[in-house]
Amino acid sequence: MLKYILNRVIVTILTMFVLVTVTFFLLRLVPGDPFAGPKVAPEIKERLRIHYGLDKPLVEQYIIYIKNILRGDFGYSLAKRGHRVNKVIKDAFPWSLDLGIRAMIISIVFGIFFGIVAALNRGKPMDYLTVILVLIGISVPSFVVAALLQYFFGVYLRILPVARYESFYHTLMPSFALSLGTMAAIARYMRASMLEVVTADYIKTAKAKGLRYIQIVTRHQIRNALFPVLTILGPAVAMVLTGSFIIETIFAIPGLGRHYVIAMQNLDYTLVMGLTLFFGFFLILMNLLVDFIYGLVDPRVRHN
Amino acid sequence: MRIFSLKKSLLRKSYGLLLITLIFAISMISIAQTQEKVLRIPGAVGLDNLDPRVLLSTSHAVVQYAIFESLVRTHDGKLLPGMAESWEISEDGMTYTFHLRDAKWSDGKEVTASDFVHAFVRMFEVCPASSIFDDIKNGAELRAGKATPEELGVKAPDEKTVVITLKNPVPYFMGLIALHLASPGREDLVKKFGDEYGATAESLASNGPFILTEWKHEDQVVMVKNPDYWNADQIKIDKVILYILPDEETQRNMFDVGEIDYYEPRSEAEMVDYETKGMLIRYVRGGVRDLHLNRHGQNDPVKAKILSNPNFMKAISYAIDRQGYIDNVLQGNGIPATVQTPPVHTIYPGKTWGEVSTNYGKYHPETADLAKSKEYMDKVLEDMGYTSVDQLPEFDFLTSVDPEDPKDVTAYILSVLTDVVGLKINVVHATGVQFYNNLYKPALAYDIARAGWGPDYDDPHTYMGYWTTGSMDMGVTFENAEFDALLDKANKETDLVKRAEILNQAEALFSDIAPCIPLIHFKGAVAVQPWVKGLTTAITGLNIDYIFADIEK
Repeated sequence: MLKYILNRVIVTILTMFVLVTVTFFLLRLVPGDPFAGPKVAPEIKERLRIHYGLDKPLVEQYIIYIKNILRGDFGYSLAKRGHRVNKVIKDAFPWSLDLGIRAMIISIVFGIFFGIVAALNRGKPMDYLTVILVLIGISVPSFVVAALLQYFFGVYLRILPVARYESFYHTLMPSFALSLGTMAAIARYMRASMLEVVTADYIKTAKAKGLRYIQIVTRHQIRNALFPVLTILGPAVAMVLTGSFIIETIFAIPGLGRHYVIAMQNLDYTLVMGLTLFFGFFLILMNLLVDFIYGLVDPRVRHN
Repeated sequence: MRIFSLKKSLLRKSYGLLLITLIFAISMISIAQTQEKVLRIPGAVGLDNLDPRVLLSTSHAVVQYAIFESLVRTHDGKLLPGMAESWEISEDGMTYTFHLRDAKWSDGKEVTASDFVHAFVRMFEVCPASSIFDDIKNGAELRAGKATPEELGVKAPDEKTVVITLKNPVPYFMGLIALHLASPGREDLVKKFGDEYGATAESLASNGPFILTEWKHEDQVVMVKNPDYWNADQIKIDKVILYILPDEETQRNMFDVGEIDYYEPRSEAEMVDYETKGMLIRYVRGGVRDLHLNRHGQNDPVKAKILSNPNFMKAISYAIDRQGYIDNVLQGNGIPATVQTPPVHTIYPGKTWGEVSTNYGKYHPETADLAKSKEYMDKVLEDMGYTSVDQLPEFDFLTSVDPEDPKDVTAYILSVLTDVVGLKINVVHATGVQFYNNLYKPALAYDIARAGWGPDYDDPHTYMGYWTTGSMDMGVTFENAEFDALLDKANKETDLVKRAEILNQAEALFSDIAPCIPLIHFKGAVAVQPWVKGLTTAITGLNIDYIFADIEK
């Protein structure tokens, strides 16, 4: 087990290094100057390039950057003048994390619940209803759901605050809107997985042993059906926790989501790098976590 | 079944809880509001640095006008004293002497003349848009590193006097001095906070009607009334909260439920909706939406020859139905632009440009004239030795907005260029800084670009000055010595009527042959909650001015 962990940590470090290098040079291949803008005098642009060290040879900039990130310093944002990238992420991430956790709880609980209900009622109206709901969840984009929720509960009924993220009631609409896609995906996976497991030998054995239906379902069918769902959970959690551009824009939540888009539009090299590394690290971490959980719940993985 | 009823009662309980909390919250809010007058306003994303010398956008200005004060202030079209209680302008119009009042920064320090000298020096050293102030002696030279800070025409003979010397006796200089860019700065804080100056509430001291007390980045800005402000009697609001609301629909929804106090409607339908409710203030707003042609044709000699030909510019201009577009697509929310300067700008006391200029409707039409367009195009074809429009090369059309955005003019212009004029167009959609990287010198990576201009001061000169040969702004390629000379002459002329004549001449020349096609002038409107009184609007600067507003609930 220790060897396994060590192995994974080394692979993680290598992956991160490749990620840094590739992103750094790819980003610089994008033509353009990050200090361009309306009414910007060329002399000032040049002064800013020198100030932020962009006049140095690219390889030298790369070495400086690597040295800095080894000390945990992502540098100053180029567009958000005066803001350290570390601080931008530190300020924004808790909002996205909070929203993401809420959304994830909703998606997992309801996703698995709907998946089970659909599978147990296969071919019956409950199944079709769930499948339709899942289809809606997957195909209706979150900005439509978010805008409709906002209008209906915020403006029409006036029972929830329209936007911003200040109290428990403020969190309800964005969490639900963000959870919908993942919820639908989980429900779909859970349903398929439940139906696949039902024909397995151990279910037949359990039936032969004379276990009650409810025991078969809870102890054998659901437990085994959860594994494939666990696999998609890693990247899903990373995606949801690190912010959604659309949901955070519509509900005016100061999370990470908007930075991804705006930083790239602004050619904000340092912020794009910082966000990419942060997201990459988070994604790898989540996948690692899923692997460990796999090992914990599935004896077959553990013994290999 | 039992589960179902359990769920239902839980639901009922939580609704009850919700209701109680809501009632409680509403009563708390109303209690709080009887105690203080709070104005809640919407803000855009990208509020990153409030140092008036670093980033420039209207989203910054909306805070900067409140927490800083320049030597003078403009309000409701009038010039008010600011940090200067009086001033004199020399006979030749070249030297401005300002006498400062006793005023304090929010951290207790005196506002001194050196704070202004520091601010102007720093502006020419670091501010991207300092060229707006190039009328100040040695300003451009300081920016280029050809003059020292001591040589700049902004001096403090003593701590209560600021003397500004100009290159030209420009009549609009007081308007420039009122801009937030020209507000005083604090050298000690700039030194103390270095790169982080302006990025946090702690790093800034306020000298304006309001003090910046809290700034949650990307979330909200809180400003409270400055009790030491010299004109504090006139400031009725106790607190201003600016919420960062990136989505327009969200702003509207928050306005509709009364969570924010004003909102700028985006379409005429919306405006009319608020107008019937009696909540709308309409106003005249400066600015122009136009097309730029690149006379260098991206170094392709054939394209350069076509794009430099004024007949080509006119062939396009006459094919555009400005009035039709405004009536049918914008539902009347705009004014057809037949010259660059909107008619509402002042040229000299008592006269607007619309009353003085003779160029409106003369060089560019309000409605399309396809026969004329064809006539001009035939001349182009003749000059090029072509027999058909099909022989023209493909042109790159640069735009910063989605070419399919129904709220923007781009879609219409593209349809005119391809379907009416018959050009082959390659659309280049560049967002964020990439648009400016393409448009500006040295790249000039466009043949035709959707561009525009917002006025820096209330004078037609602001719409012409950036088209001179030395200009590095907006990727302009006019490069006409006669035009340069006219503008130069205008700014040296102290007789304002004669100056207007010279500017009129410059505008005529420009409209006739410059690689620029004016499209639309703007109409402004803001929806305001009934309890907000005294909100004013302006053509330039702070378009929606809440500084002297009041809340009556």
